[in-house]
Amino acid sequence: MNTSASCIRLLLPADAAWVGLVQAAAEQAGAVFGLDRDKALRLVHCAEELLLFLASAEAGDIETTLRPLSTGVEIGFSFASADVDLSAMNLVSAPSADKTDGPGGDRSSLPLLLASRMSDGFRVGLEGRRMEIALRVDKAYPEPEPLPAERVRAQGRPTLSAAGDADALFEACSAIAGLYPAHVAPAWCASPGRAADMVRAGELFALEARDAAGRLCGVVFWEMRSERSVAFFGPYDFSVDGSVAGDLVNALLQAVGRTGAKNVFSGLATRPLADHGFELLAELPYLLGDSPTPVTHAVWGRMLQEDFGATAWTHPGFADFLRGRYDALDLVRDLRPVRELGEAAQAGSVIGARLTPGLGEALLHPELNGADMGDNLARHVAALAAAGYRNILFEIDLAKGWHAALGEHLLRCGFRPALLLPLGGQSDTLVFRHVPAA
Amino acid sequence: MSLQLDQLVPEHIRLFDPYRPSPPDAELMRRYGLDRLHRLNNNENPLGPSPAVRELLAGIEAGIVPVYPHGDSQNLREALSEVLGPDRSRFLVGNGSCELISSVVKAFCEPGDNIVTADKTFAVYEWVARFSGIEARLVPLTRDHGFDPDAMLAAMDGRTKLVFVCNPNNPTGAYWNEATMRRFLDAVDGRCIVVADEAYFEYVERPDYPDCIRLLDEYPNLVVFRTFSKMHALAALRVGYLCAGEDVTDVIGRAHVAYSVNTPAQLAARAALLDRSPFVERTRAMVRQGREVIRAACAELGFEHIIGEGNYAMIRTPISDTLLQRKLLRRGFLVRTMTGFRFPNWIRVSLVERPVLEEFRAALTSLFR
Repeated sequence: MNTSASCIRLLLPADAAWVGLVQAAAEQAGAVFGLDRDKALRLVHCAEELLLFLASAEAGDIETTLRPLSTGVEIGFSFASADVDLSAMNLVSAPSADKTDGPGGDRSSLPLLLASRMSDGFRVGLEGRRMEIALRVDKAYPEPEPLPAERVRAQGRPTLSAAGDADALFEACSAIAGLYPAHVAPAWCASPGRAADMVRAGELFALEARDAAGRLCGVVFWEMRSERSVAFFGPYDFSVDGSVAGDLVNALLQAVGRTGAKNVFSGLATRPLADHGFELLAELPYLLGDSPTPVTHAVWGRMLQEDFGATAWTHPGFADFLRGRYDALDLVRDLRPVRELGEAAQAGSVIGARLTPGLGEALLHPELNGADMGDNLARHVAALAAAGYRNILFEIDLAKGWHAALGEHLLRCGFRPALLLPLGGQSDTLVFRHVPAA
Repeated sequence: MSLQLDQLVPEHIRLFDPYRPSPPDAELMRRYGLDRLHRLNNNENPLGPSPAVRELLAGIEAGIVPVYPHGDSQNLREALSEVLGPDRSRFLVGNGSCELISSVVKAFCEPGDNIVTADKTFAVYEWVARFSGIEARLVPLTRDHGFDPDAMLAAMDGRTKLVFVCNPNNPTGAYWNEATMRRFLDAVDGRCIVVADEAYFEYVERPDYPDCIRLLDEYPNLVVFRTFSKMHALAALRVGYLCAGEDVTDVIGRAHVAYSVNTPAQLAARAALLDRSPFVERTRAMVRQGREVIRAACAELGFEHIIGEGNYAMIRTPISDTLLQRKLLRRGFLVRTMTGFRFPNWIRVSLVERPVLEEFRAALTSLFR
């Protein structure tokens, strides 16, 4: 965990007797780090339940860190144990009745389950022999009615500059809401205060174009998707003649071209970008609301730096797809097939999730491998589909052999490879799309 | 024991993305299934080194290796003095110009200071500043792809310690003539150090191109960088030098690591400098021919291009520069992508022997016709 920013750290045993201390620290941190009363109570609840869980799991000495994020607060617990069953951290995990009810029932995972439900996001990971669980509680932001928007006849060539203050972002987000369909508007557009906090923290970047009269003619946003990749949103061109998009894309490339990013691709693209040197990486059908007809989300991307080849893990179930994509993108990769070697896996797998309700999108990724991964996947798909998520994606990182080895489970569960993102993670990432009929 | 690395490392180092070189040629050729590889990415001189240097290198005996090199390259500095004029005390030799850039920044800058240079130029000025915790103020190029003297002056303030002027500019080849250089130096008026990086000095044949070493006596805040890597074709040996006023050189020398230039490098650089063969003229002729080949290729394909001074040319491509780099590598050509220079969808091509550039032209044509 990066603890170089201001934070509160507690070293304590995993013992229920310490709950009061952790609660008090969480309450104080919530207030100091900007959560309102309701959200701070959620943080207190997460802290309490996580410590109770770790106590029941006899996790030994733990390190608790409370730290501010740009848009909320994160509480993390780190401990030296690889044997703790974290399966209750799964988004769709539910305590089974036979384990929790009645005398002698196993309630050990219930606190963790509650904690993960009280939070707005979580991550779980193993670093060497230390395990870390971190839960995030977001600040509550107002969602103002968008300002009225109309297309602009630009006076002269617009000037581009960084946008960061909340009012400018509100103006940009309002124009997006007024001039573009909802499915190409980033989720944080609904709360410009949140976007402004992200910009101030360097987690989100925005470039706006204004004409000689100071009128907003366009905007493009981007964020670091991983250490090596940038995801952008737009370009949103508010001009009458669509003349601003090219300048926005060029400025985006100039801004990210000398960063550590190796690749840039669209999180939400608004137009074809082949004329700006982008390659079409995929066209993903999205089912929105109850509509039987999908809209198409094109994913455009391009490398920012020279690529001299690399190694990627693969599985027979998607090896042909990879070869086809690598050929199409002129990327040289040594494909290394994963093998079934019979090693023991821990019992409970954990699948991470990022939900975008407006798109009906659930983007899943493996957090921890486990013997129940196939069943866990199926549970996720069933529960997400029942909750109205009609666009379920699963992303794996081809730098990790165990990710590639999930190919079998993914295919059996109805996932099909759909999008290769070169250097989208530690290495190339492969996104599977759930196809109900498959 | 766990190492709390993030608590030990300064933020400007933690956030800095290190330069990652391409794999060794043999590995690249294996990965791409190539039987030959033309390096058009680093502005190397394939004709070199000169015959005198070849002869010297062939005669170097292993017996010199156990002995440290001369700590401040005295014999080489004497040769520089003999050929270029200023006293040897005004020269400082480094392990390539990159080491000298680092020494200059270390000598003059402290936290809170800044450097000024262009946004689309040799990246190392900006990199060294950033990983030293110094602000790099980047000024856009002019419309004709040159450094903008007025905008650079406007970017300066009381904490500006260094201005880097790449003359001619890498990658655009635009240059300041002597009048522009003088006007700029007059306007700076000694408020900070001005570095004129003349890495491609020997390639420029324009009569109005300034030899900044001749301006040193008039401008005590001027520092001139040159290198043996480009025209003299000693890139593998890493030798660069700077020339400045004696006081300024002394200050930079305090921040400079002694013994950083090895003995074969010092010997070869001296031999290259004293060589009077037609090697330099042959190289210039090769570059002139190369410009014509690239011009013709771009005219045929309808590609925008920038061909200035220096042994390189820039070509705007209808696909991303990075995709074109991969496609050309499959065909045995290494080129430099320009997105990292803030020229998205441009490539830079070194001007090498005509037959190689004709092959390159054919490869480019096969991709786009």
